Amino acid sequence: MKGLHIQGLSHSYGDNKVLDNAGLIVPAGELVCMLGPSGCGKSTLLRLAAGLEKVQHGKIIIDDVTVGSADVHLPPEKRHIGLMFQDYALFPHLNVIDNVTFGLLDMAPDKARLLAMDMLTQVGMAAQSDKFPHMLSGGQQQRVALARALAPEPKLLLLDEPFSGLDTNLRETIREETLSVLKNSGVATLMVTHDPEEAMFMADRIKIIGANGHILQAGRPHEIYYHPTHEFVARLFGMMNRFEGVAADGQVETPLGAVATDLADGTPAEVLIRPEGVILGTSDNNQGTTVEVTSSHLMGHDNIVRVRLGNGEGEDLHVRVHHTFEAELKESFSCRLDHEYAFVFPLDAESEYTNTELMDAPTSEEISAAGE
Amino acid sequence: MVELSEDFKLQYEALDSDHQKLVEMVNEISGMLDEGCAEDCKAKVVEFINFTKAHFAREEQLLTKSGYPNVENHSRHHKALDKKMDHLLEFASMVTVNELACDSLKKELVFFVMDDVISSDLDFKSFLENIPS
Ligand SMILES: Nc1ncnc2c1ncn2[C@@H]1O[C@H](COP(=O)(O)OP(=O)(O)O)[C@@H](O)[C@H]1O
Ligand SMILES: [Fe+2]
Ligand SMILES: [Fe+2]
Ligand SMILES: [Mg+2]
Repeated sequence: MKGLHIQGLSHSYGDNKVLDNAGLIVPAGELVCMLGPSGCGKSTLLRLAAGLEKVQHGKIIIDDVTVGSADVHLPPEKRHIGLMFQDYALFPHLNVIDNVTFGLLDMAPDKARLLAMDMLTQVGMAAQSDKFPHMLSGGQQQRVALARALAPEPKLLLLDEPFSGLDTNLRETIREETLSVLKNSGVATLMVTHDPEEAMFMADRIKIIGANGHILQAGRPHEIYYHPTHEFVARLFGMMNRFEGVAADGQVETPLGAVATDLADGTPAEVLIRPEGVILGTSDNNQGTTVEVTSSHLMGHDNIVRVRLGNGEGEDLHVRVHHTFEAELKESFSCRLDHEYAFVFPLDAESEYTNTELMDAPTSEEISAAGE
Repeated sequence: MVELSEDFKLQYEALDSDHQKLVEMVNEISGMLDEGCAEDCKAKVVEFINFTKAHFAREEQLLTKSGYPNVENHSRHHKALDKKMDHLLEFASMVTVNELACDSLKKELVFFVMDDVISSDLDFKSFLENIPS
């Protein structure tokens, strides 16, 4: 298969087993994101794929050639890969064009120059070709790094948190530009990130990693968001409303109504509901559960409204509404569920990942604090 | 075109031949889409999914019979692919009216067969090496 194939990769640093039988494929032309919490072994896997570290167990295959295994170790420069790592910065003593031609030493110099200029044009940096890295902004350095990685026409591009050094506004722009350059080049790309939104935006396919490089779920961004198969995955994309219950007759009761499940009757369950899955309506039509607004605050271009269930029991719910919807304090609404955003998981599921520090998503405590 | 290279093989004939057949079906569906025969593709996707489910059942039976210790995990993995197969069917229903669905279906089939189905079986490759095939 053209592209990258990682098989049964296990890796330890001393007694610390960082990867345990990790595997994945990146077909030519596709962009796969590995998304996982800090310390789960993402960078280790990327360094092994790049050849910056030797394989202890398992296999790394690029375009049907085994480049790394317990017996084989092809050095990075022989793997036909492009790298963009945080700690793999531009060479400070070389100007932009020399940085980009650096990987083209096998080529006739004038040809290499032409190719490099072409790459720099693609990333919008042709005019800066004789500048030195310290004369460039962070975003410009990033564009040059991308040009350098792609110039030798690698079979595989490995990106390790490539945008994490950039501030929020710039990050979005550079992300978009990078994505369009990558899609044009058709190179197989494996990108590592701990930012769920970044993975959503960039990836053809997301691989969610828990502890030990263990894959929890793989799928299109849409699939991961709307059909999480694991509680940890559901929680990645921001705060959740949560109820506990017991499965009976194919559903679990919540104060907002029953949610369908295929858990066996009698299984203790938790129901997680995204804030956009709670729908507020006027309270006089007598449908749904009555709730009272306890706070409201702007988050991005939405309002997050906190509401309390009518009986005054339990925690407040978070509701995502359009920013033009301004709820008054103590105002009453009726409240119902959009089942597309409600997920049921067994309560006794291996709690292996539930304590893992969640990623960039704000916690409900942070949201509460912001509103007070 | 995808192919079942040596690296994806379990060296266990009964399962490898199923996998081979799955890969061939994926290539066939891709070919139909490329040649503009989208109408016939839905039936082929249904056939592919039925074969996949039958394969999962055969594989789980074999693993159980041979005493593979993680058979329950692997069955759970197969079960979790039900939703994905539903999505494949959805895409297949849309290919005649939507070119994007066509691309998505081709892409999803490759990931499904190579990554979700075949690569994940490599977990028990070394176990199978020690039982007669
Ligand atoms: N060179 C190293 N020596 C020892 N331990 C390491 C080394 N590199 C990484 N680790 C450890 O391996 C684990 C995984 O690290 P890493 O792959 O960098 O995770 P991630 O990129 O997902 O944050 C961490 O516990 C880290 O401390
Ligand atoms: Fe299989
Ligand atoms: Fe399987
Ligand atoms: Mg890292």
